Amino acid sequence: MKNRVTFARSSKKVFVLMILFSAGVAAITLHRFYHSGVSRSGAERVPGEDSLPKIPLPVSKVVRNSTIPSSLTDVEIWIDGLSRDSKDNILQAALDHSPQGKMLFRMLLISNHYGNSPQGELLLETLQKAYGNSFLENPDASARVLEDGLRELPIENFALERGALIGTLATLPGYTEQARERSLDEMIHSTPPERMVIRPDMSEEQKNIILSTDDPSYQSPVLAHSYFLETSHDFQDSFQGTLKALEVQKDLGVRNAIVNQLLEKYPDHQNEIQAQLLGRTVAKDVTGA
Amino acid sequence: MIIQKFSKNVLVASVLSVGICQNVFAFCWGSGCLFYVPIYDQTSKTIPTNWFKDGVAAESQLCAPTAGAMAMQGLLQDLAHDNVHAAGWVLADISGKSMSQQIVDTATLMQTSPANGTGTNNLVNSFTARAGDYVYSFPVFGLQIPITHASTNSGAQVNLGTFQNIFKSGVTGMVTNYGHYTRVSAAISTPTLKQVTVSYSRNGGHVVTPRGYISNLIVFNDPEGGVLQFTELMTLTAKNSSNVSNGVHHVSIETLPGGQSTSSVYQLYQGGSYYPIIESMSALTAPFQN
Repeated sequence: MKNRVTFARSSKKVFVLMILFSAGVAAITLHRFYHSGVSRSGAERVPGEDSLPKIPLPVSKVVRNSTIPSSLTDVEIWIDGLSRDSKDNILQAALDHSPQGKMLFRMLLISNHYGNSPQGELLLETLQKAYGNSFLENPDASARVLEDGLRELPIENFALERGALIGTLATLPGYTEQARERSLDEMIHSTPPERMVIRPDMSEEQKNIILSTDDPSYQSPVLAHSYFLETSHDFQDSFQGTLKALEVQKDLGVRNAIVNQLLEKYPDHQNEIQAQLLGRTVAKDVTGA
Repeated sequence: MIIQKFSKNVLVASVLSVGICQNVFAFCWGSGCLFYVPIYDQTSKTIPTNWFKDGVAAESQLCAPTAGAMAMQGLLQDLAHDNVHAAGWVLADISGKSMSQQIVDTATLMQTSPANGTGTNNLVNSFTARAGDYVYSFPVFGLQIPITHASTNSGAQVNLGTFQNIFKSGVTGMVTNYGHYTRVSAAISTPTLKQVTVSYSRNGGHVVTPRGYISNLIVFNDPEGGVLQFTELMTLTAKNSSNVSNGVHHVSIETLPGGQSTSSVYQLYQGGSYYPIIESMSALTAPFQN
């Protein structure tokens, strides 16, 4: 019901349009659930074990009422009823202490288990529409939740989630500077080991590990640097922060990605960036030097 | 994606119609070069079954020696009319041998495992070491001078220009190794943010025998099934973006494969989430004689 209050703050016209649109989205989503041929036994649902459309929902009630609060409540009940794995439990323990924390936890839970499915995307978009204003209108409470997460969730297992928390902090009004500091801190402390160079005696499996980039620990500093560039004061601030990251990041792939992001952000400073990086030992092997 | 299969006759006919002959088997003209390379099949039933994984031809891991044997035999034939002969290992194990014997001999040379295939370094080192095995014979003194030189490029060093420059520089035998990569996307949404990270997961690789180019198309023999293929060489560039839509911040970060990659890598073609990304290419090249 708290979400009904949030929505009531909008103008009447926007409110009606949002209801109609969201009801349509919810109806489509739930129609797909309904026609997925699932049992409605109410058996315990385990995220990730079943694809999203197979999960029973109280569909008829939602479709009949076709209003956001009803469908949102039902969706929230469904999410809260999902059983959790150990990673979910750590997320919940870190975040689920306040209304904003509950919203964030629900969305991360769905992201991790269903984020890449069309139905999951629809569900997340619906939740974003329902939660977004509440998050932005209570920036202090939202920021506290995000800081809780950054303090409690270890980089080793939550690299991408931590990136998303920093990115979300940057969207809160009045928290740009805090997001800048967090992203700078993250890209300095999230330092994955340098990947090895391919050797003749390496197996194909070892090559697969070295050449793949789907290990989140290598994406973490690149993500943090991206958010740093978005929140930094100006070119000089961006450049100095990038240098700090280059000094501690050992992996050449990460360093290349960071420098390329800086060049992409400041194309007019390309010559200056390359000239300054070439003058520093730490960056001699990047930017084609 | 551009990938087409042509018969050898169609290929030769199309080249003859526009080509300037520089060698009986090797052609270069304004926008392309093509060389003769026989087409070998790594699953051929003429190969002894003990060279197949579990004895099953369809499970063949012989792409590297098959590609190498094709390149070495092709180079031998391309250079034959320039008074260039085989010597050393190529004379003993390629010249005059059957397709299956050439493949088996090359597999032995490259220390290929029937179950696990060939290490990239074994492929590159074994192949490039054959640079001394193509010799020019001086009729009067009986002297034999090695005529080819070897070159190897890896990862982001390989682009369309690399292929073009090598083929244009002389009669060429070439092998190219690419990895089988799958694009992996992970999305995390919060109330005000959608964060997408794109990465690439490698699962083994493959070796083919490029035999020329036509404009931006690479022409190669694929040992898997023994087919001639034309494919565009595409650039894969990291796509990063950040924008706000409907009050939600959308951020997308892409990390390219290779560990030490720069902002671009090169792929032979792309289908769905599959990306065959070039990891290395090695060539033996002899200068054009006329």
